[in-house]
Amino acid sequence: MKIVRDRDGDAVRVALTGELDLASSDDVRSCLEEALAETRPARLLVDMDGVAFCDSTGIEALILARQAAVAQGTRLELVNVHGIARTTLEITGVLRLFS
Amino acid sequence: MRFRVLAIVAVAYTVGAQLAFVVFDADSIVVLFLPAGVTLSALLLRPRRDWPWILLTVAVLEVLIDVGHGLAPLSALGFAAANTAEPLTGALLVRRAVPGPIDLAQRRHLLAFLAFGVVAGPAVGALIGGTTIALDADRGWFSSFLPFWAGDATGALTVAGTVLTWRRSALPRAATAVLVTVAVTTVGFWPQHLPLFYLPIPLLFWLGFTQPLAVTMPAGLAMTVAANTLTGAGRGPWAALDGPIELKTATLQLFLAVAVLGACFLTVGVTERDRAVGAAHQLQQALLPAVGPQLPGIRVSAGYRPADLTHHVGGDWYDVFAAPDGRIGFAVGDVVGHNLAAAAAMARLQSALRVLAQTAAGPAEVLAGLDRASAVIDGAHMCTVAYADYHPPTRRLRYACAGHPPPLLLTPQGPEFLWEGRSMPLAIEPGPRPCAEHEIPTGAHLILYTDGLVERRGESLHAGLNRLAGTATTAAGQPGTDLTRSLLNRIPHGGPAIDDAVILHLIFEGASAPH
Repeated sequence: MKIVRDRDGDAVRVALTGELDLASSDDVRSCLEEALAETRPARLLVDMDGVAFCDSTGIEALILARQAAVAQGTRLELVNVHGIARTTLEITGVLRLFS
Repeated sequence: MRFRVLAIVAVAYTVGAQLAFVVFDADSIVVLFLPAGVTLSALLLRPRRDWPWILLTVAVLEVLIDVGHGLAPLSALGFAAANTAEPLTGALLVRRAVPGPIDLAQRRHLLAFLAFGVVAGPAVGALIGGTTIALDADRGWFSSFLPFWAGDATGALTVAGTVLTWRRSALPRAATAVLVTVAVTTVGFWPQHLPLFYLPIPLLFWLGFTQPLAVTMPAGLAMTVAANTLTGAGRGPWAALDGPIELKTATLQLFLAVAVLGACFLTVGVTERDRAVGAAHQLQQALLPAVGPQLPGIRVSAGYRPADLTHHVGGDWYDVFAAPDGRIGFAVGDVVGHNLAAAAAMARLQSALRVLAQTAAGPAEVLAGLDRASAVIDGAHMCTVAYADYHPPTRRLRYACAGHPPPLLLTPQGPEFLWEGRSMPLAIEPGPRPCAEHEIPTGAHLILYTDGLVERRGESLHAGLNRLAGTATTAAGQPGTDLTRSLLNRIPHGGPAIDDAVILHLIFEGASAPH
């Protein structure tokens, strides 16, 4: 999993590339929580354009990061969600949490 | 019984001691003393009242053998003292730490055996025996002590290890392992100037990883005997080494002991892991209810398929029970994680759901209640659940899915996924949950399942759902086919199943056409 963070106006964008699964979910979660703690942005955009696959542990990582965001007043949004990752998030009913 | 034991000890001790004199040549660099393990294991396996007889037998034999080989009577007495004090010390200390039956696959037992039976006991023996050699042969004390200790420790480890782990049922495998080990060790210890002595190590470690100690220990003993025999015959790298003889002796035994120990530790590690996984599997199996024909209006079958990875324990469950107003409640759920904690969380959620279903107005309220309950259940976060109830007189099915894949309904019109009543997994955000209703035609099938049945890496969940619908339709169209079995056996991964899966299969019968 490749994780790139940059500024996007008043938002912080974290772009994920690779498979969001058991092997990468801990990394993703800690990167997102780090970005939240260090930058405290109004919005944290998680760019899912490069995410080819997402399983339940990946979803859990996103949800836990979202809870950390809500706790400090940041909105965490998923952008460019498509393909298998989108289907998985839709079927599990969590996609609407992130838009 | 006592005489049989004494006879066995006498024969084994004599053979081992003769081997030390003849094959290993007590004057050469080889000092492997296998009888150390014979006496130690005899003491550890027999009650205390037999110990004096065992020790007396050993002492008498030691004196007879030594004198027979031309040693002075005083030296023979010294060795007799060494070879009785050593196992006595080891056995007393081991028995203090492990009073009951000894199982070397348990960490504590193995450590006690190593510390007391293999290290401390032989150290005592070497104190007496080394002093005897030093006085008798006029050698330096330390160069007498060290080989004695190393030789007895290796003998105690391999022989007592083999005897203490002996199982008749493992005999064929043990015999094969011994033959292969001897062959590989011979190859490793044949060339003198080509270091190949490590060749048996991967074999021994593989045995340690895959086989019980009853197979690994005899193989370790075989490697030790073969390596010492070849070295005694002048083969192998140790025979060609320069340097002080006691160091060569000690390092050869050390090498062999380290290899056997490595294999033992692997076995202990694997055994401990398997015990934990076994307990979790048992717990999970015990929590899945036996599905019987006692519920009116439906026929139910269910199945569970564990993941192929043996250390993988699932948090998947199903449940079927009677609910108020003549309804039948059924649920399938999936807890995040694959360990004992996940199985425990699953158990708590399952009980909570059953209780909630007795008072809640419908599936939506059951899930909302589970949301609240899961806040105080460790490990319930992100759990997905499908809950439905069925009212046979009105043929109404009510269902709600918390982040769970949709139930599959099979009717004469074809397969249909029930996509309504969806909401997110448990314990993420409180709030009301939607519920949907469906009228069920006679003879319809409903299939609830967990994602392990449909998920395949690198593939859309839709593709997995389509595959499930196809397989289920085919199986339902063939009377006499066990639909649950055929779905579970059709592993969707093309390889080992990486996730466990459960299936709950219901057939709705006609109100006036009971089977």
